[in-house]
Amino acid sequence: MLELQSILVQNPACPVREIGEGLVIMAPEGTVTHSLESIGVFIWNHIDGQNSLQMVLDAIVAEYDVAADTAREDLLEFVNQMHKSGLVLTADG
Amino acid sequence: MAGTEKQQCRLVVGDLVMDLNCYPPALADVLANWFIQEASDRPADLDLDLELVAHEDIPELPNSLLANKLVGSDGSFDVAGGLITGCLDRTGARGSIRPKATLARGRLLRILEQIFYQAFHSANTLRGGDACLVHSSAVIADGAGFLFVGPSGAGKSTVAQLSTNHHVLGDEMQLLAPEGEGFTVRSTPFNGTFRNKLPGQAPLRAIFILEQADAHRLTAIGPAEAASALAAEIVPPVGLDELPTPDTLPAMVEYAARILEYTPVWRLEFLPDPGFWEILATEFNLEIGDGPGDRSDQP
Repeated sequence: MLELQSILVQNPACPVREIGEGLVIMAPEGTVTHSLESIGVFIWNHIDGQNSLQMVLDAIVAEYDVAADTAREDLLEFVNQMHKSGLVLTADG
Repeated sequence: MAGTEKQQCRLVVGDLVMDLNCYPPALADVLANWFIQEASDRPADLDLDLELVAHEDIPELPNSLLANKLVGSDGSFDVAGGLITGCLDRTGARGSIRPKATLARGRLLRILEQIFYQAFHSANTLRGGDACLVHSSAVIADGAGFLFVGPSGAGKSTVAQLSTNHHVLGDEMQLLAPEGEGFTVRSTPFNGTFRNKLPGQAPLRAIFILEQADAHRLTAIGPAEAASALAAEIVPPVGLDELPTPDTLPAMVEYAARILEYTPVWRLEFLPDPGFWEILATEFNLEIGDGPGDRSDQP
């Protein structure tokens, strides 16, 4: 289970295609796609192997009109889902 | 081969023609009754010997004809541990498909159909074509083509059944091909549960991602979500003698993105009644009546 001090990196094995302002990310097993729009793209772009999830959360709260508690819950649920799907990896492997 | 007498069945998918030389000969009649398709007297793009293989075992049926497939450097292929074998000679544009005989019976024909998706892609590649097969239902209304997509159970067949006032192209598999400044949607011989389909084609006007709901609603969706949903329903462009590669899924997403450059995609929530056509008529300014089907685009 990921926590706010976790640092994530985009899985390099996942092809990504920009479409409009969204992204289609193809899971590494090659049969499933995931689409991201708006805040999902924002989070994805902040997952760079440098930012902790706390830093990503701070960026979300600064950018969007959302309460920190709600943003934290949603962020952790979102990144845990991405991690489970293999789209992101923990920076330490 | 056990005997030599064969009977031909033509399979016409868009502009591509595949001749299936069937053994036993009765197989050709089975397929002619199964496939609802356009006629064609064009020369074949691919010539295939289709020979049923007798067997005593009860084969295990796969969910996908791609997941458990082996190919050889000689153009040979083996699907699901011998369920369907064959080979492709690209130079000669010919080959063979040898399915176990059980696949030619009843509902199992829908599994056999899937090898013809791969045959289509082989023929498409040989001809340098740019069409794709999309798991979908499609209807022509007031001269415009509308494509309905979604996973199994989303309601593609239901939409077809609710659209008999219009020209239903089918509820299982349609062909999309670039034409002019857009795409054309065209019927294929491949079947779902809806048998009252009619061959035809029309300019593709819109695509709908289906969702069964408590009301008829049409809502816009983001382009990435649209591309992802559409790509999931594009038949992987894998030929008879090929396997999926790491480039296969990106190619499907890329094709979806191309379609989206010309065609809007909406989410269509619907009830099991034809009322959604009123919403579509308003949104797309369609002139549709209450009478018998709008059959203006038969070939």
